[in-house]
Amino acid sequence: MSYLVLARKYRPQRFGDLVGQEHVARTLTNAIALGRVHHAFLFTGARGIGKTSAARILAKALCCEKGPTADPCGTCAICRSIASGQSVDVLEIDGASNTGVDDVRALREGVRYVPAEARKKIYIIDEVHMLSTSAFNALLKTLEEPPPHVVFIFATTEAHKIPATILSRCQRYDFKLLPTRVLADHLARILGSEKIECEPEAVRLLAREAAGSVRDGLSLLDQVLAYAGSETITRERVAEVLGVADRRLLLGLAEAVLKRDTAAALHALSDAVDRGVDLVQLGRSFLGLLHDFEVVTLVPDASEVLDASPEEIAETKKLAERAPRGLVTALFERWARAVEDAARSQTPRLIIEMALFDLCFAEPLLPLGDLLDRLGKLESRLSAGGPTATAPRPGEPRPRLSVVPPTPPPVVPAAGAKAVKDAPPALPVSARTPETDIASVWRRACEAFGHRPAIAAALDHAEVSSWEGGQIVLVFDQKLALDQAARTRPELERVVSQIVGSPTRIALQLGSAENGKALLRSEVDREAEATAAEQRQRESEARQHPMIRKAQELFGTAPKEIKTQ
Amino acid sequence: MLLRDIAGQEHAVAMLLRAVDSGRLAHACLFEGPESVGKRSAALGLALALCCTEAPGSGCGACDACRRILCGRHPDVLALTPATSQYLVEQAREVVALAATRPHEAPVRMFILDSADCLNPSAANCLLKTLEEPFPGNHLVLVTAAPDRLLPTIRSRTQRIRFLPLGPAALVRIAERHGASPAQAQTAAALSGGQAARLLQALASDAESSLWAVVGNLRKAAAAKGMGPIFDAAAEFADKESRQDLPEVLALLARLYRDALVNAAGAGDLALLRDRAEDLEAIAERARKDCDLATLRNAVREVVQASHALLSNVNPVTALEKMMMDLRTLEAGVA
Repeated sequence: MSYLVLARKYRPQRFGDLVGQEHVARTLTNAIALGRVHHAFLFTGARGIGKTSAARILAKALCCEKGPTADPCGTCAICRSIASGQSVDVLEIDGASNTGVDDVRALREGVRYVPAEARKKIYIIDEVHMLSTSAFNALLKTLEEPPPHVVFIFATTEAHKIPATILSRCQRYDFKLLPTRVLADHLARILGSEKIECEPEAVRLLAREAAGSVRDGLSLLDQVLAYAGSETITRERVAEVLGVADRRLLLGLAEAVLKRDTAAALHALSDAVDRGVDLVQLGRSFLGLLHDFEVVTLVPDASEVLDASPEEIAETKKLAERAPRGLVTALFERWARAVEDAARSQTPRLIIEMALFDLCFAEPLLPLGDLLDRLGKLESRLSAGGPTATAPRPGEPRPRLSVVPPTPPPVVPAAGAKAVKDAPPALPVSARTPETDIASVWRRACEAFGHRPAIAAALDHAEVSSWEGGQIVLVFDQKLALDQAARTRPELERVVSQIVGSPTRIALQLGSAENGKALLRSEVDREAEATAAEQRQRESEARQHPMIRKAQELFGTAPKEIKTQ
Repeated sequence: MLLRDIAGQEHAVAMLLRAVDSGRLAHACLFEGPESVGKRSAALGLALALCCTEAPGSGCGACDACRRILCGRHPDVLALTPATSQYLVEQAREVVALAATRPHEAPVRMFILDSADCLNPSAANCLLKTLEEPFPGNHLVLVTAAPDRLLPTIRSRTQRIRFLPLGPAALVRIAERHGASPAQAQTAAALSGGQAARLLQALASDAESSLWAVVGNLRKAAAAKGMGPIFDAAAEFADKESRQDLPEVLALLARLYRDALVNAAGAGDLALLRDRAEDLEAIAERARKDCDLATLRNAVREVVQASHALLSNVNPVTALEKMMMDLRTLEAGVA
């Protein structure tokens, strides 16, 4: 009655059968051939990729009547007893059930006795990470210097749980997850020997779902076989059984979204759910498809990057070309958030449906550079229009300007610190009177470009070095900033002319600007100076205070320090 | 319950029946899916199919073996539950020891581990070898609503049988089987979250009309001219007695808007609350005429956000007020 699952039926019996672990097989084979076999091994790696199988093969290789040989015969009495788990000399111990120190002590008792029939006595401890600390420690001495007839093989998925003292006494072999292609080939071979018809696409999908583990792949295959019976295994069938979204379904969904056809998108989703696709899984697969869209548009030869057949890639590409630039990025971001929400929600279907609406309504997300370019073009068109440049900005309500009287010019005309401090808050350029103070001119020019980060950043690197005869010399400390400013010089000149109230040219230079600093100190410097002056003033006031003077007379010494805060 | 009688899990049931039929049933299965959708019933159904003496392959539910399985007295069908909040390693060791022997009388022995995600790490590890290679004739079924909490090594050794949230059609069918009217069935289905137990609970509480009345009042408050009715309604429906109904009320409201949205998008066949077609059409019409579908879609989001807020201990009055203010765009045409 009991059915032997494929993973057990096709358990590798020779090193040559180990798929995807050639590095391990080769090392062990050579070690046996050269007679350099260690007495303690540790096999580690993810689930279902051949650790236990390798341990059994190694046991057979060492004990085979025709050995020790890298290629055990599998037919002698000893090989057969090992394969069926009945050998008295190869003890396979479940480390997770025998975790205690007493189990290890019992094991150590047995180690002393020579093997009954085979050449070696082999202890395979599977899931060894579950041994307790004292159990591990009880093993240490035996593991370091066991009797010559004993070999230990440990297998575990969690090598990090094993004490360093154990690790250092073992030869460690790391098993790797299998690449999808290797796994697909392996599955196809097994299907061949089971004499089952199967589409290559279906095998690929199975291998992808197994995520590198042979046993996972074979479990999934078993599941599909159990469902499909004797029929040919198709991609749709596999998708149906595993509850993953078929690629065609995903493409249909994508097409509906790109056409902004919400009804079609909802129906595609409903179909998928009716076919038993898990919603969150569907969400993740669709996210993967959106990712593929980006990849096929950006990478000329996507077949090296994507895990898909050439036809699938061509199909994806065709659809991706219909999406306007920037749209896919916008879709991806929204969908990614929705999938996360759905995974946590009590009502995943509602979340996913609403996200579909979002996608259908989504506007392309333009790269910032594009937006800046557009804005730049718009501005230059406005400035080319002449008078429009001096007109108030569209957002500014016109009547207000006529009601509010024009701001009076700063009371103190010189470039003093006070004047700057009292300057009125920024107003639209056109609403202000001409400036005569270079510091304010410069500040207002920078403000005028505040909404254009690229230019504003460039101006941050500039110092005003001189202002004479209708020409302002700007000195930049960075080539990059200079270049950026040079590109926008016409605009810069226009804005500055407007602020100054007379045509002004701007010259750009590279280098440090010592005298520029003198001409235009930073706001911080100015504030610091102001505070220092105030401090001095207060100190001298304090010294003049009658009480301080009296104290000075009494103690016959001047105050050492005066705190004004 | 026999496998074939389990509603709304056609896939899982078909998979199990075929596997039994073709003799390709894996010795270790993982039944995964949301709470209360029929996983445990299916596990027992599988036991019936495997152990029944009268109708092997499907189970009869009437023979000696079947009856003993159904009342939990069959020596070869062991339904386990966690001993404490977790499965302890001792329980796992008993399974390991028993699974190394032949079944007593039935052709197979079956272990059903309910809430398998409650296996503590030692217990889970202890089962690994048995899950991979049990003594012939032993089957293990792990039942869980949280497969991600199981060790990857366990998941890789078991064959996954997925159970899905019950779909609207299945839910309505179950409700009608229990004698509900179509309107009641639809409301209960909207409240069930795809779970049979919650569906029956909603039917039993018989609060359909009062819940809809609250929904109507909330909408009316949002549609009123000023803000006054909103504050009044929030105060009334979020007070101590009424607030426990709020999650259901908001679920219905969200479902109402969702169905209207689906209707307006031209996929009316996907709407669940067909008995409220007039309401749906009115909302959809309003969305089409006064604003756009995006507003209706935002309305759903507001309601969902409000129900999340309630779950995360936001003051219910505040949550309701905010929701209704946001709903004004749709209900009262206020931007």
